Amino acid sequence: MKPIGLYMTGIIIAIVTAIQNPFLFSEQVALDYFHRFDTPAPPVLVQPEPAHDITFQFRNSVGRTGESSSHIKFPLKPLFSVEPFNLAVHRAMKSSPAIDADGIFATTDSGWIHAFNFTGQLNWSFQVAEAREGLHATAALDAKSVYVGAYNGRFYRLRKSDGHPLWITRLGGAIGASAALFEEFVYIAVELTGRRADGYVVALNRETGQPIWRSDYLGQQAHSSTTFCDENKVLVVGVNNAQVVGIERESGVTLWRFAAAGPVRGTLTASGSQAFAADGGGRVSAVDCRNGQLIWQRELSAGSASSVAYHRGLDLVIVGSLDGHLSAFSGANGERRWTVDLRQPDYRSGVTITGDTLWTACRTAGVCALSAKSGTVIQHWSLKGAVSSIPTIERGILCVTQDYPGGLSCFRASNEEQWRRPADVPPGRKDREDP
Amino acid sequence: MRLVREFIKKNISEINSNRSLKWYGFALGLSHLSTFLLWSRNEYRMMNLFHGTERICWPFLPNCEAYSVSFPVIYFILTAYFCAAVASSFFFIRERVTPAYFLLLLATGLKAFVYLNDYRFMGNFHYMHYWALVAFLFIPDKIRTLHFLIVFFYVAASLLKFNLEWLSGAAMVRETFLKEKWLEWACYYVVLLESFFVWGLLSRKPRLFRLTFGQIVLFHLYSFLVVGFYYPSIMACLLSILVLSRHYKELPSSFRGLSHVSIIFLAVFAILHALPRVLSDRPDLDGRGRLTALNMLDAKPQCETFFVAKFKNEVRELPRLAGPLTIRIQCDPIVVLKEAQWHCQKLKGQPDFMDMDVALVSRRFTDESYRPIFEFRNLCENPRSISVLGIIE
Repeated sequence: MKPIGLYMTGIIIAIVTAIQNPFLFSEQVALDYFHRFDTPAPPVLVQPEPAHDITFQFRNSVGRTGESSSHIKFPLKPLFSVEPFNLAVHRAMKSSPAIDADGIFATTDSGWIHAFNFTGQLNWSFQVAEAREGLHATAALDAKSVYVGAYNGRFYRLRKSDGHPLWITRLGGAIGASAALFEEFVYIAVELTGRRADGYVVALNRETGQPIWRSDYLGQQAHSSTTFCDENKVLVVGVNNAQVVGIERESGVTLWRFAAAGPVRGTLTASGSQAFAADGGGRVSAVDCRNGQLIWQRELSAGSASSVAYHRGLDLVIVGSLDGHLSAFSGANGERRWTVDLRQPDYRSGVTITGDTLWTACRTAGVCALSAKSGTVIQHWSLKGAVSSIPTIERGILCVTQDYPGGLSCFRASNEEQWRRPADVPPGRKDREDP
Repeated sequence: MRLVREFIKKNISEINSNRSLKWYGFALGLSHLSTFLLWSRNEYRMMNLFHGTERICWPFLPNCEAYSVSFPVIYFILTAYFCAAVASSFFFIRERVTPAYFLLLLATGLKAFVYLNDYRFMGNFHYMHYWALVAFLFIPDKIRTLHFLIVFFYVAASLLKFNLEWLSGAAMVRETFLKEKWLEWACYYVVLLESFFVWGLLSRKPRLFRLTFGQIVLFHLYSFLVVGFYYPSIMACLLSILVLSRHYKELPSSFRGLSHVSIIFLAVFAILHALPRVLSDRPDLDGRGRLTALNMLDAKPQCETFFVAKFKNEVRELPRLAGPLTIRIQCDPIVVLKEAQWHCQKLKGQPDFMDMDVALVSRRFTDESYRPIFEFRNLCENPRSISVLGIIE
């Protein structure tokens, strides 16, 4: 080859090569981009099974108010207990049991998903692989499936009858948050655990597991579960970088970011177009979901890592702080209504609401029932292990998971009398007979 | 037999007639010592591979468990390998070419024996080492063939680098002093060096040769920081023919008129490198035909493996079993399928075990999304086989 031919070849190679790396002539460093880049993988082991009616999700609805459709009467008697359950492999709050007409579905920090019937008999178990910190997400249920994410970054849809996967997909580095089921979609906050701790929210098709959208990067990991507000048009999520992010539900586009006073690890609650967030800096904030504007903000006695509850009837925002105090504020203006010392150091639990009664962890290893109006403790039950999860009350049963050496404990009214108010059944939920 | 004897005699005589080839034989002996050092330094890994019977067979050697050896035997073989390599180098220095040749052949055979015991030994450095050894031991017109082979190594490697995975620096297995934009430009330069400038190694003009060779030396010195001692030391041995032939003024006057055998040899090399591209658009992920070609830092694959074992009232996702794997094969479908088969063997006797589903999704570090590589249901009932070219059937 003559020299001119060689030169030409060299120039062509140089141009073709340079085109392969669009970062080469830009200021952005390619690796900086790719080290934080992650993406949901396509689902595997997909079995044909349509999405069914939603029967349970964390905090009882996509608004995450914590209001249960079920009621339970005093006195309670133990139904069954399974011990041990969680092994306390991670400080994050433990998952809550999911309950519907088909049984109790509980996840453990040692990596198991268990399905029990209402007498405590184990129907089936599913063990996730390579999840050092197991599962901390509460399962969401529809009539035929269980939806849950694990700390291995995978999200599972399992068949309720036998635990066999209907699909599995890898969404990121870890999933500590609980999924939100809405219409034919499932929404999950995903953590990235590589060189840069980050996260995003993913929307999947419930039937196929195919990703619909992935939000922008949140800026840090999100332990908080997604909450819907503003007539389900916006979903909000708390992030460890002291931000609350508002995302358009249909498109995944980031609408706004609200700066909190500390990491927002607990799940927010929503009422109308307002979302309520508690942060590690010790503040509770009411934020307008439409634009991320602060409506009111109040100080707590300490930082908070627990999920906020909202009592619609009393317009109460109920939030716990890490020093064990539980406080209630007016949803409208943030006026403090009451504060009670639960004598629970490192309080990470949250409140479940049945009528005018609040149920939460208290006194290191126990569950308390409190009056929603005054915060007075009405009843207290001692348990074996500390409670960092939120008690679940569904179908006249109260179940709570504890840290090691405690287990999964379930109670029901001793006179077996249960009642429910049809008006409390969240929209989109099929009413079913109690077991 | 007579033909073989004649053929060997011819090769020995060609080596005997060139001082540069005798010294190159010495260098190849050293390259075996380097391999010995690599394997003995990784004794823990070797023990893992050779204790027990769990082997990952090369696709062209199925059922390798039947003739694979245990750790004590492999220890003995490695000792013999070391002795053969030392003796071969010694005899090449003493210009006793016939015993040196056969000892080098023996060392090569022993290396191949260890290497073929388990697929996890796969590595480019070995691949190039074998090609250079074959060229030296069996191909006539050795000096010119080796020159072309070395240039082909670089060009073949460069063809794997026309992508964002390499050009962004993502394919680097270790961080070095070259960072950010410096790293990107260095990677860009390497592609130009390997695909274009490298032809300067065939130049008869000393200045152009030195300029090119100097760049190659710098490249390998840097590679030491990324991949450790073995690859640069092997390349130092393989490249020595370029310097030796010029030093002893034994470089043929022209690179034209290469022998037919050499041309066929180099053509086979080129065809084998085209094969993965013919069989797959992403051989680095699905492994199709990847065995036949270089796969030097072609990708930093990321993958998710799903082993879902089904029992009567329990489902278990199972972990990976193959132990620490190099980046090249950590997502290799052959390895993942073999792991699934191990799981099947272990679970077979367990009460209530029904069967296992397995799936693999992979992507390059710089890919936008993962792609499904395979998905098999009830694998224990319906086992899969792997073709000679590494295609799962």
